[in-house]
Amino acid sequence: MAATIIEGPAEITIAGVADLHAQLREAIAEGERCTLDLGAVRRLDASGVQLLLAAARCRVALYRPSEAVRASLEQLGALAQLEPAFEEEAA
Amino acid sequence: MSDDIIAQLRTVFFEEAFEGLGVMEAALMDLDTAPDDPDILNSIFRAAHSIKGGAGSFGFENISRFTHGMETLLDEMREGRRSVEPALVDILLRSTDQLRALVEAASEGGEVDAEATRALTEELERILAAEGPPPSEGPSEPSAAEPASSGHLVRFVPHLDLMNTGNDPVLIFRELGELGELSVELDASRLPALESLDPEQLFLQWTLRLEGEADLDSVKEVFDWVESDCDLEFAPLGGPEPVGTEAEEQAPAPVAAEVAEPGPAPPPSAPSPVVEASPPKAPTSKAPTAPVAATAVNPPAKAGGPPPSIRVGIDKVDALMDIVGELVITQSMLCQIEKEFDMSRLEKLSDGLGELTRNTRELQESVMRLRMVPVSFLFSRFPRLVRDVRSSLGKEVELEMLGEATEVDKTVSEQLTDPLVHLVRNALDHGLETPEGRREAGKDEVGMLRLSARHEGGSVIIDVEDDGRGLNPDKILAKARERGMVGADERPSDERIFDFIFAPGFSTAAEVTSLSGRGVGLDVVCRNIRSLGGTIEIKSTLGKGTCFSIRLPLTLSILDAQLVRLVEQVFIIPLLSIVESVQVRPELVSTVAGGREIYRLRDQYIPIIRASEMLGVKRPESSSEPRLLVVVEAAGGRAGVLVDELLDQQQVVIKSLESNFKPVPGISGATILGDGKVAFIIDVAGFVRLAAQRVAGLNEALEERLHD
Repeated sequence: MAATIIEGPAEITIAGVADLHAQLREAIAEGERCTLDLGAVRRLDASGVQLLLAAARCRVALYRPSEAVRASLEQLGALAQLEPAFEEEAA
Repeated sequence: MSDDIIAQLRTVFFEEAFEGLGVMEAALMDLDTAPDDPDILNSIFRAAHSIKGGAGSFGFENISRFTHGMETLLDEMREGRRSVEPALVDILLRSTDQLRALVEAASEGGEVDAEATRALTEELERILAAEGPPPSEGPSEPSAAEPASSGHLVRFVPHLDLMNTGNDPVLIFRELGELGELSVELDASRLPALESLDPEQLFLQWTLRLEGEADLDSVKEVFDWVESDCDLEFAPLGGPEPVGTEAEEQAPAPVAAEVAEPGPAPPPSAPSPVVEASPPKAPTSKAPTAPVAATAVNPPAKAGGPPPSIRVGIDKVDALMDIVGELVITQSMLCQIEKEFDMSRLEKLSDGLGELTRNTRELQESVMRLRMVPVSFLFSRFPRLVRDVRSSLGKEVELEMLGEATEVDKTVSEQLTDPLVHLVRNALDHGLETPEGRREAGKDEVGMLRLSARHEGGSVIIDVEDDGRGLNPDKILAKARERGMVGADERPSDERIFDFIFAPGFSTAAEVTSLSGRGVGLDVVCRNIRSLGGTIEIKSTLGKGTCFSIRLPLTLSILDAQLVRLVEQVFIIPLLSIVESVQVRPELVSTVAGGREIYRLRDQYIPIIRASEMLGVKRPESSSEPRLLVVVEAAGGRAGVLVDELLDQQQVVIKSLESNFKPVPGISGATILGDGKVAFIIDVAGFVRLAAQRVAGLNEALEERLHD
C-alpha cells in the first residue's frame, strides 16, 4: 500500500496550521495511508493539538512525536486520546 | 531602572490613563442606550482595572484606592449581580471625573478636592455595602473568604476565534499548573472532521481541576487576557459542578451567586470588545466615539507639567521614513552632480532640484500630518455634556456627530475645545426649546443638535447646528439700536444683525427673553476663534434653528501668503484675508475729517490704509505713490491696504515675533523667504480694526444716496 509521509514543520501553531491542514486533507483525499512525522516539531499550540486530534480520527499515523509535542498534548489533556495513533517506527 | 526610564513610563501611564478615562466615559454613555451589553461593561471595567494597576505600580495610592471602589462596582455590574441603573451610571460618571482630576493632579501637580474624593469613595462604599453580595463572598476580598479552599473547578469554553487573538490554552494551562495540581479533561466532542475543519478556529473545550491553596482571584487572573474570548465558569472543587455545557456566562461569575441563582445569563457577546477595538471612525456616527488609540493625545497640559506629548499612528511615521529615504537619495544624487559638474549636466541638476522641491513639500505635509488629530477628540466630550444638560434642563436632545474622522491641528483642536463647549451649551440652553415648547411649535419633541466637521479647501469647517427656536433678528436689532450700535432707521442684513450677538456684553438684558443669555460669552468664543485665525458665521431661521459655522485654517504654522512690496521691502498679507485687489482710481478717493482717506469701492466706502506709513517704511521723495489697493477682510470689517506691487504667492512658515523678539503692533509674525531675507506678516485684523472707526456712519450715508 502506498504511503504518504508528511514532514511536520518545526512549529505547528496558529500561524502555519492552515498549511499543514491542507497537506493532510490532500493526502487523505487521495485515499492513501498517511503518516505525519512529528520528530522535528519544537512547538505545538492548541490549534496544532486540535489538528492532530482531527487527523488521528482520519487514521493518520503520528510518527515519533517529539518531547514538545507530548508536552503540549499532555497539557491540554489530549495525550491519552492520541497515544493509540503514535508510531515509533516508520510505516 | 534609571530615573529617565521611570519618567518615560510615567508619561506613558498618564497617557494611557487619560485614554482609559476617555474610554470609560464614552462607554458609560453607551450604557444609557445599551445597559445590558457585556462588552461595554467589560471595556469600562478593563479601563478602570488598568488605571488602578498602573497607579499602584507608580505609587499613586490615592488613585488606585479610589479606583478600587469603582472597579468593584463595575465588576458586580458586569457579572450581572447588580443591574445597570441610571443612578449607578451617574455615580460612575462622577467618579470618572474625580478620577480624571486625581490623574491630572498626579501628572501635572496641583490640588484635588480631597473632600469630593472622600465623599465619592464613601458613596461608592455605601452602594457596595447596601445591595451588594455579602462581602465575605465578594471578589474584593476573596482571599479572606476562601483561604482554605481545597481547589477550583474551571469550565473553559473558548470562543472559536480565541487563537486568533494570540492566546494559547497550552500557555494558560501551564500557568494554571503553577498554582497547584492541575488535571485537564478535554472535551473534543465539538471537533468537526478533518475534511470540514477550519484549523484556525478552536473547537475544543476543557474542564480543569486545580487542587491546592490558590485563591479564586489568582485563578481568575490567569484567564484575564482571554476572558472576553471564552466562556468561563468557576466552582469550588467538591462543590456542585457548573451547570450545562453551553455556558453563556461572559465573565468569571462569583461562586455564591452562580450556585444560588443560575438565573438568566447575559446575552452572548460579540467576539471582541467594541470600544477598545474601535478602528478610526467612519465619517458618520451617532454614537460617542472612543478615542482612536493610534493617534490618541493627552489633554492639554497646564503650564509647569511635563511637555505635552502626542501619540502618532505608525503609518504616519512610516510615510515620513519613506520620504526621508527619498530625500537622502536626492541629496546623494545632487552631491554626485556637484562633484563632476560641467555645463552638460545642468539639466540633471535642474531635475535633481525639482526632485528636492517635491521631497521637501511631501516632507512638510507629512510632518504636518503628525500634528493632526481627528476631531473625534474634540467631539467625544459632547455626548456627556448633552447628557448632563439634558437631565438638568429637562430637554430631550438627540446628538448627531458627523465627520469625526476629519483631522485638525492638535493646537487648534485644543484651543477649540472651550469655544465649542460654549456653543453647544448655548444651543442646548437657549437654542432648543422644552418638549412642551417644541410640541406647541409643531416640532418633534426630541430636539436635534448636530456637530459636524469637514474639510473645505485649506480650511476645516465645524458646524454646531440646532433645530431650536432660532434667532430673532428684530429683537437683536432693537437691542442693537438701544445700545447705539445701529442707527435708528438703519436695517442691516440679517447676517450683520446676527453678528451683533458676538459683541461683548450683548443681550444680557432680560427683555430679550427668547435670547436671554445668548450673548454672554459669545464674544469670548468669537475672540478665541479669531485668535486661531478662524472665522465664525451664524445662519439662523426664526423658529427653525441656528447654525454656528466655524472656519479654521488647517494649521497654524504654515500660511498661504501674498507677498507684497512696500517701497523696497517685502511684506506678507495672508492670502485668506484678501478679498480682491484693485488699481486705485484717484477720483474715488476722498478725504474725511482728520485727513483720513476712504475709497469708494462700488457701493461701499472702505478705509484706505497706507501700510508703508503705518509700518514706518520710509518713502523716498523720488518714489511714486503706491497705486494698488489690496482689499482685505478681517475682524468683521474691510479695509484697503495700499501697496506698491503684488509679488508672488507662496506658502510660508510662520515664525513668532512675540516669542523670538517682542510683540510689534501691526505685525503678526515673520517668515524667512527663499533668498534668506526676513519678511514680516501684516496683522490684517489689527489693521482693519484700526481703520474701522474711520468709516463708521459713512456707509449708511452712501446707501441713502444710492437709494435716492
